Amino acid sequence: MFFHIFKYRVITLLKDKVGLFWMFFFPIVMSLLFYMVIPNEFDSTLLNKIPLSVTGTNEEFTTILNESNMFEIVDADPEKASEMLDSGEIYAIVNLDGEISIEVKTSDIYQTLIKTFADTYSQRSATYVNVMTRNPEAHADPSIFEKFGPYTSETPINGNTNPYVVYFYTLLAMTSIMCGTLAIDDIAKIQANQSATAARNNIAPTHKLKIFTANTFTTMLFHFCSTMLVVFFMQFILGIDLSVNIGWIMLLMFVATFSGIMLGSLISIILKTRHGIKLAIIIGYSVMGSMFAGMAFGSLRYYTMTYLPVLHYMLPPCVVTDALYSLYYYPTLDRYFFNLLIIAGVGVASCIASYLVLRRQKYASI
Amino acid sequence: MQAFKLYWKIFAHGSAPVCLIFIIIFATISIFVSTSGGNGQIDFVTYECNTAVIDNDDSELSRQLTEYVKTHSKFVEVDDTDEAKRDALFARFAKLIITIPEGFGEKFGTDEALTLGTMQLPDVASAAFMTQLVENYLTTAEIYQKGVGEIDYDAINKDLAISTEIKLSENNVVSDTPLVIFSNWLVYSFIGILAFCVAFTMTSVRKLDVKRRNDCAPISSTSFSLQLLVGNVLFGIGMYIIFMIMEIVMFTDTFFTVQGAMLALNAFVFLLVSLALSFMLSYLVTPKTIYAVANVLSLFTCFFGGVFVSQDMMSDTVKNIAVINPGFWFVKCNELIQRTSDYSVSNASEIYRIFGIELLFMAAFVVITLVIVRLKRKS
Repeated sequence: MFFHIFKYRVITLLKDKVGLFWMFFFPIVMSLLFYMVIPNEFDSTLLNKIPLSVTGTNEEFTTILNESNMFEIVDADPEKASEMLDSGEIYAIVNLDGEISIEVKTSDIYQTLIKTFADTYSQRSATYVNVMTRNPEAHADPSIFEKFGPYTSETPINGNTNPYVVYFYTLLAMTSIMCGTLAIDDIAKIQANQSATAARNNIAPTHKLKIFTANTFTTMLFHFCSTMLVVFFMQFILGIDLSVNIGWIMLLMFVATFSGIMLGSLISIILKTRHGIKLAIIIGYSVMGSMFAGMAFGSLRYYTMTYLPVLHYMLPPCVVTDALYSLYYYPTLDRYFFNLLIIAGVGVASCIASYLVLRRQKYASI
Repeated sequence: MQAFKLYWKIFAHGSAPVCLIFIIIFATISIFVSTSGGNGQIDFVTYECNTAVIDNDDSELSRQLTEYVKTHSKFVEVDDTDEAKRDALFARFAKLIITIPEGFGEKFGTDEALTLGTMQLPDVASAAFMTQLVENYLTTAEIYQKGVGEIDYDAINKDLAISTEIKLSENNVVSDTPLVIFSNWLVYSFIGILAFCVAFTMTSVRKLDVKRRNDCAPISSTSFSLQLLVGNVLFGIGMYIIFMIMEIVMFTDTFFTVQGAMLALNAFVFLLVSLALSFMLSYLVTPKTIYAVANVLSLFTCFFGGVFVSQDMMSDTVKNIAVINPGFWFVKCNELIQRTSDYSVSNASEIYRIFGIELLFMAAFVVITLVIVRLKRKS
């Protein structure tokens, strides 16, 4: 009987175009959108040389500017330099006539670097003058003004640091939890007060729990396969480096799918309301969870986790995203398993609660 | 007014709870994102690297250095654990984390001098820049220590306060204000909610049995359609008012300005576009596919409109595709409104041109809808 129910549930799922859309096409379309729109570069990486233009003359400053090896001085007359500044070919025009002044188009990192260089030049000159004034003998000791630093030593961060992948993780998290929408159908087919099919099923000589288990297992398996297709689409078609170990992703997706379905079942069993509202609640919950996990604003997951940890753990997409992130970023699996346990816990708790509500349910009137 | 009443009856019993859920979700996300957004500066503002300092030394030098870092960076607090530091760096909450070791101040300038530990993302310009500032501070401190025999913090601060004059060119670029970010996010709210609710109501009255029954009623088809149209428009205006009230409550100062009024006007124009789009959509979807279509459409318009990812960061190819998206023009217009101070027709012609483009989108959706209606009637 189990296999019989399994077989017909697979056929039903394959014929449910809307369900297929949510399970498979929606994440594919979304990942394509992410792939096309979200930039891969999140930080201004250090340019070999920052292009700028210089007007006026200050031999000493120009020499230091050249020697610093940080800047590329573009030769252009003032009018051309202005055009180049507007078009973004150069970052600043440094005017050396009289007091040094700088013209920029926007306030950003390279403009600040140019300003800081000019500041340092003026500041260091002031410091030398100050020291000489207070201690004229310092002039005779050149060691005072040389051999400084470095004062810092960097601890390297091993591992991947590109937050680009987090957007795809949020999508996988949303997909895995959104499978709760399928559970609404599963429940509607066994709760006699929710559909005519369920009323008929209830009078059949098959144990209600068996129908529930078979339906849920099929949905879970089906959804897991479709999620893995999405994972493979991202990893191999789009070329997104999701993680080194696809096996851990598979395990996580399996557990997340189980939790998503159980959560959807529980909501569907508890709420005695229309199908549409249940659907909106599960979709809204998944979308909100994935937004807080960083779907629209990558760093939101960090803020939620740091400042609203309760909300973070109440939203399974946030936990799933965090588990995927820990796989990508951390060399150890401690955090991954911690998140996995939370997701599994949500699934098991929802499963027990669903069972307790479902068992021995009788209908005086439907 | 039977059809008009019917509209609200369907809305109250059908899409209202879902609409409420969506409003709460969209509003929560919009508020969260807009309040953590930019400041819309128009003067040059020195780039501030998100920096955290963990001071294990607590000497005069370490305290002064920390103060200097605070004034020259976006100072953030990070816990002194490896995991907290790594998380903060990945999320770009901190781009540079400086750890001052115990005994740093005491041994500074001696042969046993300690170095500051730094953690940063590889090759990130802002972290490299901030490290340079720290190096500069400590170099100045050592010059004073060697030159005058002590670290004169007042003199250091005075020297390092010297600043080069900087001016922005006329065609400068400004970051978005929270009001503009919230306005941009209206794309998500308007499309998401209107597409669902309008389509839900309209598909309900267009079910074959319902339609046949309505056709028998002593009310003309034109009157019936007009009443539903009025219902949709009123619903849209209601949505507009709800989100404008949110803007007024959250951004009272900036809302009641000419710029705020222009943003509100643009939002109204976009509302009309969203209504027309939703109306067209209602002829293309079935009750089962409403959720899916509304969801994809709202996310598509946001991603290709520059709501989630700034238009400045979009590639030229994506921008070329995005011109078919009314959300793109709405966001573009919001950003132009932000950069403009004189809204006269001669000075802000581009803004009015985009209003025109948005209205053309609306007209196009209406025309397509009429064609669909005609084709469906024939079939």
